[in-house]
Amino acid sequence: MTTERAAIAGVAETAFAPPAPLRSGEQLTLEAVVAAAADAGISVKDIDGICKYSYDGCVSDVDLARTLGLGDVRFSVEVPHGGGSCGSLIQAAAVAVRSGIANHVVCYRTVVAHQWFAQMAGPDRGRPYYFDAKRYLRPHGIRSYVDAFALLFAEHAARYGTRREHLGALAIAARVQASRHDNALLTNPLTLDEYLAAPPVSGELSALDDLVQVDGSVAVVVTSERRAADLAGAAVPVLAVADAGGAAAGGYWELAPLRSEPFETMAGRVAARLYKQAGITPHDVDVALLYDCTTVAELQLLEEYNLIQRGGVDAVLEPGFGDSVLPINTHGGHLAGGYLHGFSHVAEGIRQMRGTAANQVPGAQIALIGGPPMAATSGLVLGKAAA
Amino acid sequence: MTTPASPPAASYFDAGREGLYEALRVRLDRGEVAVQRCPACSATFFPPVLRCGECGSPELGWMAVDSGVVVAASKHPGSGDTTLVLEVGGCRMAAVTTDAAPPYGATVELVVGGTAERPRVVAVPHEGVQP
Repeated sequence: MTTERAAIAGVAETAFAPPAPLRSGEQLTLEAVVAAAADAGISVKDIDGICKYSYDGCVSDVDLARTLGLGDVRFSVEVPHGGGSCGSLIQAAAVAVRSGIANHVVCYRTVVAHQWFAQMAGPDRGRPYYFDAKRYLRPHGIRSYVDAFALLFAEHAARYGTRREHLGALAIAARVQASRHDNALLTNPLTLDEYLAAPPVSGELSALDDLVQVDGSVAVVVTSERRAADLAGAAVPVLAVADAGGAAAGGYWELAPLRSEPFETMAGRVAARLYKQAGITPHDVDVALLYDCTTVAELQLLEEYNLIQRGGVDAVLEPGFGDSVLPINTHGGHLAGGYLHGFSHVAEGIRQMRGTAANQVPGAQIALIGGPPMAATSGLVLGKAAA
Repeated sequence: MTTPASPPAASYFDAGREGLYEALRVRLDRGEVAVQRCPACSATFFPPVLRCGECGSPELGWMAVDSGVVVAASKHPGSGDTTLVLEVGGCRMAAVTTDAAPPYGATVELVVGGTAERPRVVAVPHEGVQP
């Protein structure tokens, strides 16, 4: 293993569209992977490593290799952490390029919403815990991630005085960002009155606390910094990447409210590892891309990454929070941009570090990407692209 | 409030997840709300597990629980049910109530409700002092 850093040399995302049977997951994936390779300035034939989410049912690594005519694929990994895989994929790819196993590793996530949400809700032999959820949680009303987050919010509210206004501030900030981003779905403004008037779907949460479903794909190409210097793409260095799991993760995500201390999550461990590896503090973060499948998840991550104090939720009510005050999810995130299982957050981090984001943060040097605050998870820190 | 573990501990490793659920169903069918308890280290688990994640013991027993303390309550607009997260004997478990949502820190009594095919743990108001 060399001490050389990994770098992300190419990035591409398809248009994010409302769920519709217009294009298959395979078509979306191929478009994103080919475009990411082109962005990096390599031929797809140069791809010799593949990292993907385990639950991406859109195209397998072998199908991808066959369809694109990939040559000597020497590294192939699937990461089973759901949304927590967003940093893990980059970590696996970084290990491969730093150890010399592979030179150009493509990482991707494609979401075809109707397929993915049916997979999450229905019997899934690839996830045996589905049957645990069916037996022990479903009869008690924990049927979806929104139900789990509604319980987490209820406990957070009881312990820290958190109110819906706090969540509303995050939903509104996401819309502000999305309104200035071409590939975001929900671009109309949202007022606090509209947010508070939305009917609840679970506990105190409404549809405005939930992600927006889209079909789309995101792909990136990871290589070494040395190789990246010879490529056409503006390479972004990976300053830190970390993963956290184990028994303390508490099993699968639906169990998050049943953990003995639900607000001390694996995201906190990831945060500590990232800050140490990168040699930074939370104050050094110029833009934060935080997994926001719900507003509650984003709030938890703000605490876990020490971007606000635990229970210090009034910080999000400060005018400009999420924009001029700590830019967050500058692509609209999952709440307004579209749900790509954390990987669109990686793409936005790369754009911010290249200086090409639609909502470019002036002078940004450090982008933090944080995976979800439930179960095993991951994250990464990106640095400014070489001039 | 809990009652001592019963019956003696057994290994569910070979029974797998199906056997584990059947072991709990036997208790639910006779009206007993229970969580798993490791006799070796006293760790408790819900949902049940095949092996103690704390000390590694393959032998696990069950502990009847008749009350819990509310740490979260969330009402479902459709069904009118309220899902509860409860502290019970060292772990947390899920339950449901059709009554008004009890406040954080309230103690509730636990009974088996639902249907024969789909039993569930139902919380009813505790008659003692509430927060």
